[in-house]
Amino acid sequence: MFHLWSRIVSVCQRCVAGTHATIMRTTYRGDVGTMVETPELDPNEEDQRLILLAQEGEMAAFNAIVERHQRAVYSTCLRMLRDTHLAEDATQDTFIRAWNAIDSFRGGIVRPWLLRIATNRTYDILRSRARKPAQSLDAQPFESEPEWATVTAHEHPEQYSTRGEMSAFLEDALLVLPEDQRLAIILSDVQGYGYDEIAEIMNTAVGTVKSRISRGRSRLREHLQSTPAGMELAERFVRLNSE
Amino acid sequence: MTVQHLTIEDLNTYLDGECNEPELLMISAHLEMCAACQSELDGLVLIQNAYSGLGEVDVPRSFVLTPAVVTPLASPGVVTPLRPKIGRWEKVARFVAIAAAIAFLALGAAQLTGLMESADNESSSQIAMDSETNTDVVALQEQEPAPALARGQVRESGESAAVGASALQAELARVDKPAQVENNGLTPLEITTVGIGIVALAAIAGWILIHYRADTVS
Repeated sequence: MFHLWSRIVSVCQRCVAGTHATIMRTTYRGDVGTMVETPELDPNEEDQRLILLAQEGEMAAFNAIVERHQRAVYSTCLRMLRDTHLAEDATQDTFIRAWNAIDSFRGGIVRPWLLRIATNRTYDILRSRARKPAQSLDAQPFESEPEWATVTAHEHPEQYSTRGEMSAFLEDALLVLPEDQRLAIILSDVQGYGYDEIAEIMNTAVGTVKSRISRGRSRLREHLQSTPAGMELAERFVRLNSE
Repeated sequence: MTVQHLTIEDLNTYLDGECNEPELLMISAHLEMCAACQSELDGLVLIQNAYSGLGEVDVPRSFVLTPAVVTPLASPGVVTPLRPKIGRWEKVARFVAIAAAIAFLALGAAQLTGLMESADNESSSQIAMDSETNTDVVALQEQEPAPALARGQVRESGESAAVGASALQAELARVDKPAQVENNGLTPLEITTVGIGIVALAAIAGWILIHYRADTVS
């Protein structure tokens, strides 16, 4: 019996906003002419389903993946490049490359694969910029404005301001690290990845990741301790987040 | 008795929950009795907690793909190279420049070695020549009729002195000619060296130009 299936992928708006863990799926069954809503899936399973559809050439399914992971990719690019325009370009390039290489994706978790493409692109840009240091003077600097930090809804204006100030301080402190250590700290402490996943993203050994994270954290602590009230600011930031 | 403190890597592995059970037990036991290591760990915990609070940055725009954004010819499975055409030519120019530079250096070294050897030979033979010039000329005068006789030319005994003198002049002219060519013109080796040098310079200039252009494009 033949069934004419056409899938329409609709992205859950709460998921896009980051307040929902899964994606809603509505399947259209052509033979009965009705929309069938399937149960919510695990985020990774949902990624797998969307990847399979994208491998069949469905750009809408791939765009659902883009919407689910663009914040993580853009944040990583921005923290590495410290330039909003370059970070936008790198993020867009990442998704174009991922789309072009979608057939080479052999399963697994999608986000580390995307971040690996993104980090390769950021390294390319950093190398290119290092060859032309004068260009960086024209680049728009990375400014950690309050809206870039994690802001709780209905937050008091004073708390909002303090959080912005402290997040800017911490973002700036990342600059003291070499690129490899900075990326390891971003993936580990900001994004929350384990050593195995970071090793996969950075295309290196777990031992190297361990060493980079250790040296990165030690260096950050030295930097914060050398800055007047640096450790105190960090402590206040932690307290503010836990409230 | 000195206390063996934990390494910074041990503390970070412990903090990230990446150590195995024996390591976990050992580190926990040490931390309970060592205030210095506990203080070190507290500092790392503070750093980790502070950075975990930064979170993700809001995107300035959506990065969803449209057919206009994706290259028209691109299709799934084809990875668009960073520098489609320029990168290839840059590689070729780089290869030619390196190969030509190596050949230029090798030929230059060969030339230099040859010059040094000939200078040594000239200086040593010059000393011998100075002392033996007269005897060489006499010997050449005596030997000169022999090739003519070998070619079967029959000469009268009265004419032999005149023939010997003209043959000596011809032989001297023949011996002097290559030396004049070497002194006044360029040998094939020198011409080759100069040619490859020009190719090397051109390739290096091309490489720099292409490289600069590629950077501008990317």
